[in-house]
Amino acid sequence: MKKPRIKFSPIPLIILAFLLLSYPKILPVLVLALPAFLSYFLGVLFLVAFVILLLYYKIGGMFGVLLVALALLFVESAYLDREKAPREHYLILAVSVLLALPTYLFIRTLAVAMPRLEVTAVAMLILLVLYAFSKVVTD
Amino acid sequence: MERKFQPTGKAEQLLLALWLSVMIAFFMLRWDMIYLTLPMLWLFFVAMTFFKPRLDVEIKRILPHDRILEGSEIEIRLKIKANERIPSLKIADDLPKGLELLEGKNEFLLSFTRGEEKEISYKVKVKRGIHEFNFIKLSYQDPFGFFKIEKTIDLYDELIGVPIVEDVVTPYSTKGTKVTVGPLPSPRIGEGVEFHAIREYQPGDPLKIINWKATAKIGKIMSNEYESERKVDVILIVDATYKGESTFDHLIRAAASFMLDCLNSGTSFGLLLAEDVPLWIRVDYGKRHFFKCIDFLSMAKPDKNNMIAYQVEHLVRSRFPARAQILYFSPLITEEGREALKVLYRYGYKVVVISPDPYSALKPKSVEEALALKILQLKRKAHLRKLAAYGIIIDWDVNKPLKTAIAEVVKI
Repeated sequence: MKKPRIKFSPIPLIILAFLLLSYPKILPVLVLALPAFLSYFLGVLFLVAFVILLLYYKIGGMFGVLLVALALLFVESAYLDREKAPREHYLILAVSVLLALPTYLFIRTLAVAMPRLEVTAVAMLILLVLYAFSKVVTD
Repeated sequence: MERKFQPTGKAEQLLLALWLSVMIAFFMLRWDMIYLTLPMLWLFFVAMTFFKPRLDVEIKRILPHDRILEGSEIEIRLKIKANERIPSLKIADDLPKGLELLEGKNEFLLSFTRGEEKEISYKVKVKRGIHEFNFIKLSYQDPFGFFKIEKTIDLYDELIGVPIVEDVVTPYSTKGTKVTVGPLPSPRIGEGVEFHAIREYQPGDPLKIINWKATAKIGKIMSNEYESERKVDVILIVDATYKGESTFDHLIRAAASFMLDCLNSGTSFGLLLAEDVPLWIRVDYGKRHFFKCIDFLSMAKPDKNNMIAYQVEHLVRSRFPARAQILYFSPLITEEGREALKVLYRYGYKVVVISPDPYSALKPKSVEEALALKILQLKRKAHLRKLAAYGIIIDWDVNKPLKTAIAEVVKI
């Protein structure tokens, strides 16, 4: 079997593990993260399982977004490792994923003035992304 | 120019994860935590907004020459200029089947800054034939591998692999005779002219050739007609039967070599390529004519032609010059091929047959195969012996040089 190419991807995984130390119930899910070094699909399965656990244990807020961002960063950088991507691609990836944090903060701030804004905003964003995606595909 | 934009399987997988996360949030009545999907949404947004190029690229393919000797190694260069920033561009050149890749690859992965120009190259070995490059395929994937754009640029180039030409010994006499017939006013006078017949005087005939005796006898001014000694017309006939495929390249090389020999000795020559649709190039002189014939020889392919005898007979009646020297290139493996030789003989042509032995190109892998080859070779020898009455037959073992095969048959 071919040895998986690992470069920067363990970094977000280690941070994620460190952050999850205080959540022993969720920590075992990281075992599912290891196959992500081999395949993107297995990485996506880990991501879905991780989100489900966060939802189940009601771990949300800024911390929840950060955990999802790190999990996604890990899955994506494992893919970039396999593709022998240049360093700048990791940087673009990190910036775009971590943009979720200021966005959440922004929505949260607005939510003080306009109640329950975050759900509406995210729903809108999802709709927009789906629209853009279908538009791009049909073009 | 064709262009395709499509999401990759990876994008679909992440989209599914996003969708599942949203649905599960609703099913668990934690719909307020839907903001957990924000990182995925941002990733899609960045990929779609900042990494979707138009693939505005200019490409030029540079070939060293449009005619290359078969077996030569050449370098094909591609000059690419990107009019925009493209982080990762895959370029695949359309490599014709007849070209063998020797060094490098015809696929490249490059990254460009705006206005940057790059040159890439690969080496190929040229086989005989016409090789057509039709397009260049470009494909781009965004850095996250979510989207793929494919674009095909029509870029046509043609490369002709011309057959290798060997030194040959002319196995026939290049001296021939050509009769001036019809109302041609002035037969050739000078060295090497011989009396042929008497005909009526034509205005323009020099006084020297008036036959006064015949004029007095008949009562009309009569002139002598002469045969002028000059070079013979050579007709090359190539039997492109698919049954001789193993030695077809040798057949073509032999024809090209004899054509060059004709060019060097100053004889006029014509070519009949007896493919399914026969190709006849009339008798002519010179380099231009030579290159025209070489181009057709380069493109010749073995064909399911079983009409060669009919084609030859038709052309003998309508196109072939009288008393021409025929060079017949055939493996003599088909009944039709052998019949064509008999037709030429019946019409009084002098024929030299260059017959590459198709079995000499095969290497037997077992004792049984070796025995089968031996039987086939004996059968061929028997056929050739029968055909020896119709012309000079040069049985060519393709493992030896053609010159040696000719020298074995024709005493020079």
